[in-house]
Amino acid sequence: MKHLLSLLLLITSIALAEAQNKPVIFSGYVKESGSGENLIGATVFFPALKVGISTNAYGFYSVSVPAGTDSLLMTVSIIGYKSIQQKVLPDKNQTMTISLSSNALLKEVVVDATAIRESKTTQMSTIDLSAQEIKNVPALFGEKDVIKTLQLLPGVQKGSEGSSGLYVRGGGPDQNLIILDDAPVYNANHLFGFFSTFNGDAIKNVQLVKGGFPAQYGGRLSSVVDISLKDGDKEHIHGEVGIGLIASRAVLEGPIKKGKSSFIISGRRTYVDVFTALVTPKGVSAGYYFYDLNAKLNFELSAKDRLYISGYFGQDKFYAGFKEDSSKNTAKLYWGNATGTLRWNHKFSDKLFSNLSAITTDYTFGVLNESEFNNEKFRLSYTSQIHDYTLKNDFDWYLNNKHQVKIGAIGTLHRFTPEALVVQISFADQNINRKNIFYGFESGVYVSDDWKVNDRLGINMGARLSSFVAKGKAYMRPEPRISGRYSIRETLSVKASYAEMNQYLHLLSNSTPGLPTDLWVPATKKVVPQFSRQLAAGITKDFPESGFSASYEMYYKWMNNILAYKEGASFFEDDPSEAEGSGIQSFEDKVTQGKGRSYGGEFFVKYNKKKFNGWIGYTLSWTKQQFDDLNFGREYYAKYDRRHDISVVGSYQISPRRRLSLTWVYGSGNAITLEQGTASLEEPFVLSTNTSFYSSGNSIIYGEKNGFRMRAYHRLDIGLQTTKKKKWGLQTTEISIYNAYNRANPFFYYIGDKTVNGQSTGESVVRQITLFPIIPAISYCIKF
Amino acid sequence: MNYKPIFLVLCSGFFLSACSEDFFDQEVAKVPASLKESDIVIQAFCAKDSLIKVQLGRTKPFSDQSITDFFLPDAVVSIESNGLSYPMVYKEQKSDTYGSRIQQSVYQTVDTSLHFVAGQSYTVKASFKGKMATASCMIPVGAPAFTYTIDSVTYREGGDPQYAPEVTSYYATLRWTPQAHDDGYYLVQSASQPKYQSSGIWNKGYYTGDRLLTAADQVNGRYEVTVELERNYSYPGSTEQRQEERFKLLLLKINQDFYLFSKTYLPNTYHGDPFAEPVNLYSNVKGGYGIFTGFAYTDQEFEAIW
Repeated sequence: MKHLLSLLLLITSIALAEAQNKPVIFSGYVKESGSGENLIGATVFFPALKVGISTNAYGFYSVSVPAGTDSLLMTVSIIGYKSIQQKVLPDKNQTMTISLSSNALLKEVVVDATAIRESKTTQMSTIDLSAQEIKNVPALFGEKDVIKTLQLLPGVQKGSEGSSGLYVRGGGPDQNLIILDDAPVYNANHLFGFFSTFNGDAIKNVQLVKGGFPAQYGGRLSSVVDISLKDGDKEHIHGEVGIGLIASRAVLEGPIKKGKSSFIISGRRTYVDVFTALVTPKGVSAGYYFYDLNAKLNFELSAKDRLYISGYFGQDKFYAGFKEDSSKNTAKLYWGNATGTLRWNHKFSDKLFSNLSAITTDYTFGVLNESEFNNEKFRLSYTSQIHDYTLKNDFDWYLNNKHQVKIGAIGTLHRFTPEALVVQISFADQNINRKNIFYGFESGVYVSDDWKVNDRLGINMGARLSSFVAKGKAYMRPEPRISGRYSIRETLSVKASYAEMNQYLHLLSNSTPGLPTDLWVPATKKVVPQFSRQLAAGITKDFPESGFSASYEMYYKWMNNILAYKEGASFFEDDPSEAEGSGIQSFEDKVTQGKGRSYGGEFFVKYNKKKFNGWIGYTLSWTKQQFDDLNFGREYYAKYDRRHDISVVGSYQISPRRRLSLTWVYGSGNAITLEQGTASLEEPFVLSTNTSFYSSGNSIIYGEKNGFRMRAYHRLDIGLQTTKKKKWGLQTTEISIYNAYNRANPFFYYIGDKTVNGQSTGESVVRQITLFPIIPAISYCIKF
Repeated sequence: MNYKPIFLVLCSGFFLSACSEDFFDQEVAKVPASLKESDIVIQAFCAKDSLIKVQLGRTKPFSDQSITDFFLPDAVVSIESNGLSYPMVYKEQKSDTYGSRIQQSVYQTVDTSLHFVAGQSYTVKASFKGKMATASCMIPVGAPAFTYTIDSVTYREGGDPQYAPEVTSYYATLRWTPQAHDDGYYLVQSASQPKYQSSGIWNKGYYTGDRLLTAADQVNGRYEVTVELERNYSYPGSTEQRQEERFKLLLLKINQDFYLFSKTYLPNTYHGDPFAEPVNLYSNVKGGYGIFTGFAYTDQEFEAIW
């Protein structure tokens, strides 16, 4: 706390000293013309003064300029929209709402040279993706996927084939803070990770932060994926309906009160279960489906107040059952997230913007089995759950053109229900009704200052004080954050950052991510919080006239107290409630904590101009781990250590109606532990000076942990979108091919029989399982 | 130009080619040499005054089916101590009583009177088809003396009280004081021999009981370890007579190599849970696999009728 107060004092004194001349303030919102959707990251810039700022997460800006009697030129721009230039008179404070027209309405993309570019921002290791960029990327079964698009960015690796797991700079999938309108999403997977839970239709913007974390973020070691939902069109009602191979989706948005309030509702559902119902015999049911539902309302209560209510609900369900004359049986396996966010924006003054959020998020996994035989009934219900209640307040304080201060506090009450078991048997006296619930409280306060020292130098310094209390154990840790940018030339800058992060929640997960049985548990006295330090440095060059931006970043990340299952441990029978003293083996006895380090370089070139846009990302990295209890204490390569990772993403407007998209990915093979052979060894049991033996058997030789490399992974995806204008709106047909050259990529390896013409030869060989061959898909979408 | 027909033909061609059985489950062509070649396995647990013998075997790589057993009778083996090297020769094949699971070849020094000497270090070297494996160990001088106490706990198992058995567990608690420069690795074992009620003769073999490994967990300058000796079940109405038994308690002074091997042995060979993380078997053999280690022990025996 002392460090935080000192920093706050330092920031305030510097800022006040520099704010001697009373300036004029231009503040307000930047919106999309037509829909009234707030635009995040739009640049408001005064070229003559070389003064500018980006809009915040709610489209708000505040710029101070010296008072005067001469008009000033103000430009407002953001990629994907036509920039505007406007003369303004800096004679008094002014509130201005600025509307920008989308390039979708224009013939070609216009790139404005005055936009705040990569080379001008202090923040590093951050990539923004728009909804359109996500929609342009061809996807498995044609299902557009936010998380899988993020996997195409440098420094981000996917897990196994088809998985939605994110491995950011050597971190595990549990180390990513995925937030949807401020609400954390604990399990972002559908169908064991083949699809993510985010429906692209409702998304406005996605920001990925891999390092140099701003002080407002905390609670995870490796990345922040901040997903903002659309606010809804304030002017007109319109919608979109899409039909794909495995799922259909719909979105409807429009004004509640024109220009003042709006709604958006979107949904997606798969229909594999509909087809399975057609082929299952009478009396038998079996199927699977998932669905997502997003809804958001926003109200402009006054010029100073806005209210946002948003929610997400999604669930996966497997079910099977049969019904006969005197008996029936049904079984269900289900899991899903539900989030709700209430946000109140208030503008205290032209310089002070506040957001107060009340958030709830829930992840539940459950099994239900009900059977009946001759009127005797059996019912088993098992659930595990994590439920959070969060209150958070963030302030954006635009002190002057040199200082933008962020201050905030967050408190989260976690309710863990690792196991709730109900067994009811009509013919038995004793039923089971067992529920373990315990609570944890996580909090954080932060302050940061984005300080433009001069035209060349910018520093973002901040600190976060995080704390956690659960099961009688409390932790409090300071987390310093600093990043800096020095402009060598107008379009060339070097950047560096340092960040410390703590993670107080652990994910108990077996080797494969995406299983719904993964369980979130708190840090305890025995299993301490995870901690990371990350140092990054890079160089960024913009080529504004040609539409290119290129960056190279190097990073080194140290991770302490990271979690892994002990050798021989299994995720079965984890019972976090039995942590201490009970004699029952708890999760704490099954896991071990160790160290990790990851380092490497990331090269990223992005192109966005005229008919073509896309990017090339290349990552060269190393990730190693060391646990005293694993691999005999020797350091080993992490499972997702990947030496080379390449992504090429491109989208080309062939004609006004047709757009061709290509994605090519390459990744070095995953490191795995593979059985190498057997040996005949014995365990001694001594009864006299001669040794006799107690136990014997064939021991398996695994060799070094993760000492075997799978084949490299590479794949080409192609998509062709054809758009037709109709009287009622727009019709889009997309034909896509996943894995276009039919590469047999490894999913997992095992030791199996050698086969010739389908017959086993009796020899053992290493075999590879592949999941997806070439998969063509077609989807149809109408927009009205 | 109409792209659609070309596009559809290409799609169909690729898709059909993907449907071959081998696509989804295929042999990996390039595998490292470690999956193809056999390595030397050395195993010996050496106590002072025991004959100098080691067991040798070889690994069976998964991808070489030409190897049908683990025996290694034609290796070149020697053992070194105090600057002297003693050649070892193949003596016999060793298999367990249940069949041929243990398949190791026993090698002994040419001078068959040689014994391991307490406090001395030994290095065994084995070579076979261009491969060389070596391992070293020191024979501990002795293990500390221990005292023990016997306790029991009786409880009734859950379920219907009419049929639930009364269970009595008997425990032995061993206590000892660590020796100077003690690294804290011990193995406590118990074993029992029943006396046949019909003949009144002791059974020749031991039934092995509980065993516990300790690693530097002394409390207040003493070690204290409890092992379960036996668990008796008494069912309601049963008139079964209790059996006279002879118990043996052993305290083994071991080193870190012995400890790590024992700790990983059972989880490595037991594969009951398919979701369990694999357990690497510890080895102190350079250039091969296995364990070559020394130990010393003390034991005590007592008779009991439970």
